Amino acid sequence: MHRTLERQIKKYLADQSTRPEGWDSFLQAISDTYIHSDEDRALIERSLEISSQELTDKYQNLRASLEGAEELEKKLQSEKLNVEEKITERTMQFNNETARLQASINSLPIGLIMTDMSNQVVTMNPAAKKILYTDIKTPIDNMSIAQIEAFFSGGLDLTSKVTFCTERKESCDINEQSYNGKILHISLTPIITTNSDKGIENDVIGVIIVMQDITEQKTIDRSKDEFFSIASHELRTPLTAIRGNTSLIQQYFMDKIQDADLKEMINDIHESSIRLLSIVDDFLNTSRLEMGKIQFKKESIDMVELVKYIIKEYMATGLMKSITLQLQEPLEKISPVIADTDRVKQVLINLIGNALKFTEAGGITVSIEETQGMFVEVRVTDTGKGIPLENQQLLFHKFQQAGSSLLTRDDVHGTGLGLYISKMMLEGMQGKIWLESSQIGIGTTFAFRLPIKG
Amino acid sequence: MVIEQKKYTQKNGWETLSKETFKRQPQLVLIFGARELLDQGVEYDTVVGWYPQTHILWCSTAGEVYDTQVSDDSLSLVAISFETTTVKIVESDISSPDESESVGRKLSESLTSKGLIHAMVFSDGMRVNGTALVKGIASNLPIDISITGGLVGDGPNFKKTLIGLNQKPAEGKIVLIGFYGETLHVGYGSLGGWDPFGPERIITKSKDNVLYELDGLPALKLYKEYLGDQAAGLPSSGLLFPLALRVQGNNGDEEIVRTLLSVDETAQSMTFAGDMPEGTPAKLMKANFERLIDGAEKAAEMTNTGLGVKNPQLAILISCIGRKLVLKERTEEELEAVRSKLGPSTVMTGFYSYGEICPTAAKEKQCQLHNQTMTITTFSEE
Repeated sequence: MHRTLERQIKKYLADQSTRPEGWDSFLQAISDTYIHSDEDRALIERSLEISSQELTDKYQNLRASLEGAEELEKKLQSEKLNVEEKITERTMQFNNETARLQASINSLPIGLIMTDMSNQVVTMNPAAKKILYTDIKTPIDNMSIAQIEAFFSGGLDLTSKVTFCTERKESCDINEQSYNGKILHISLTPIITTNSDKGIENDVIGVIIVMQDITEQKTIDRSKDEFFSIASHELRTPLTAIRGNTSLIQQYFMDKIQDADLKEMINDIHESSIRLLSIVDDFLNTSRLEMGKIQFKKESIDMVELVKYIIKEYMATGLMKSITLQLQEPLEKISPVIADTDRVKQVLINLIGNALKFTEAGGITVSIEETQGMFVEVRVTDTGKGIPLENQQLLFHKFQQAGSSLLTRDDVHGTGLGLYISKMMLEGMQGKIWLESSQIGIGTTFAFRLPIKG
Repeated sequence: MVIEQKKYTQKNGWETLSKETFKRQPQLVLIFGARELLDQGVEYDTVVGWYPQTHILWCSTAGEVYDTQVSDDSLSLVAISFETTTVKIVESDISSPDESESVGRKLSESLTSKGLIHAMVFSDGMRVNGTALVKGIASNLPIDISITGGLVGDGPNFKKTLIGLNQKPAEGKIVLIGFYGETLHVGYGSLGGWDPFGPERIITKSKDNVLYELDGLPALKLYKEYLGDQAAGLPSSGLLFPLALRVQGNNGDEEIVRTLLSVDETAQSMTFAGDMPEGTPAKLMKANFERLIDGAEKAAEMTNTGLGVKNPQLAILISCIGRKLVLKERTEEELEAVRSKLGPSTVMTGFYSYGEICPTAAKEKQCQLHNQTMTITTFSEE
């Protein structure tokens, strides 16, 4: 029985004889209620005590976390300041770099336009504005490639060139673009970036468009070409008269001239006039080729026969210098090329003539072969003195000779136009010429090729 | 509606509280009884003899409600003869909690929706995940049909629970009763009266209705610490500290109470009567007499609100065993509190359960599994 109840019974109901029937069961029920009530209270107190301790622990953890968080916040604040300082510094560096770059771009004498990935202009320097137009009303930031294209009134397909650049990741050129009475040279170059952090490689982020006004240069070139053409033509007429007359003198009146010095002088005048005519012819050919005034015929040419013919022509010259001149017979049949016979002859004469000029002993060999079923290649190999390395790069340019410049003259007279003319003519016939090899004291091989199908 | 109410004890035999003259055979007999009596088939033949053409449903309990009395070793019987209302009863077997939802779905599929007013479910209390069962039943019933009921009990033993529909009670049974008819009014109410206390914890490890860890620590260890000497009485003593789960409901956060069904010392796990989703905040709960009794009274008030009429003819009380374990000698006070609100003429029957099923509010239809509540379903026929 519950102690409290037991005590209360002793105190108030000491006399057991007065208790009614069923009293004990009743008291036991009350006792159970007392006991259960105590148990419940104990359980609740216990649970509240544990719970209170748990809450205390959690509170302490929370405080510790809060202190940790405050500490972390301080660190973060400090880091934030550092980062901000760095950002300020980097921004300043970036601004300086941008200013330098912008100044450089602005100071360029050539026009420069930079676009982004969506073909919008991000930079256009003053030179570009000057080339394109004078009055700037459209904000550059909003200008697109299509709007720039519109300046050319449909005469320039810039969009397709930009697409080509960005897709192929390659540069491309527009050599002579007419615009508003000007001639422009336009180059497009993709801006390629690599961001290895993001796994991006060779990503195109825009295009640089460079525009150069080449009107003046072109005008000068044309004037010069015209000058050469006119001057050469005008020189040729009196020279022909000089050569004709000296030839007549040599042929019919030489026996009337008794003075040996006078005879020699007349011979000199004759030879000089021939050489001068040859030079003028070279100038005229060059001028015509450059002005595109020469039309190339399309004839089927048996190169073996043509080479044999030229060799035969020059055989006597070779024998005079005790130099052999021969064709290395091809092992297989060579297909005919499609080209202008006279022009090919000129090329062969130039190459074989040069070889004879620069060879003092040994021989000259011409070989012919067919390559890839598309071309016939001809090689002229001599055992001459060879071409110095420093001169090899300039061989196919105007007024350049294998030995030295035209102005300084050397023992082999020439204009320095022969190889330049050969190159121009071969290119006009879809062919190509190149120096295959050359070694000082050993010899030189020049080669050219022409297409089998024109 | 005519109702006959009887009570059987081995000491006193059958006693009749109200003996009505049936104009027609009762359609439904509900018998809530001590698991041992049902297991032994005590008075089975007698009852079948009395109501040979009636559906008789036997349910084991954790305490039988007979008017305002609670008994642990009795049979509490009501025989109901509706005027015009009809009932359809379906049943199914269940062998594991994993089947709960599918069995619920199957049961509700078997009920005809047309004319259905209300459904009551009586389920095995040990082999069922109550949350999944409710979800399954609700999935096939019209949205405006309310469902109430409970998980039957086995005293404080948590060993086996029994249900028998027109046959001797057995384990692993679920029965769903459909009430049809326009003259029937059904009210329902459910309230607890428990208060959360202590720190909020997070369910960090669980599977369905099995709880392993709270805040990363074994949940069973926490319960043992709180129970002290009473830990020896697990799982029933665990009912003294149900868990309040804070879940996202239609109207913001809602509190759902979960009560313990069993513990597994090997797995250090605790099986609750409904789902214990991981990541859900949970708090221990405690009770005091006044709050529990107040809860029962408010549940009775809720039934009146929903019913639209006062003084219903029949009230089926399904109250949680957890309440009985706390209230002990004062358990009947919560029945008296209910009586005070329903009025003297209402026939009160019911049982102490392992889980209650009811909508959360009187006007709502969406039902949920509750624990630790007094859940009341009232019936009135015009």
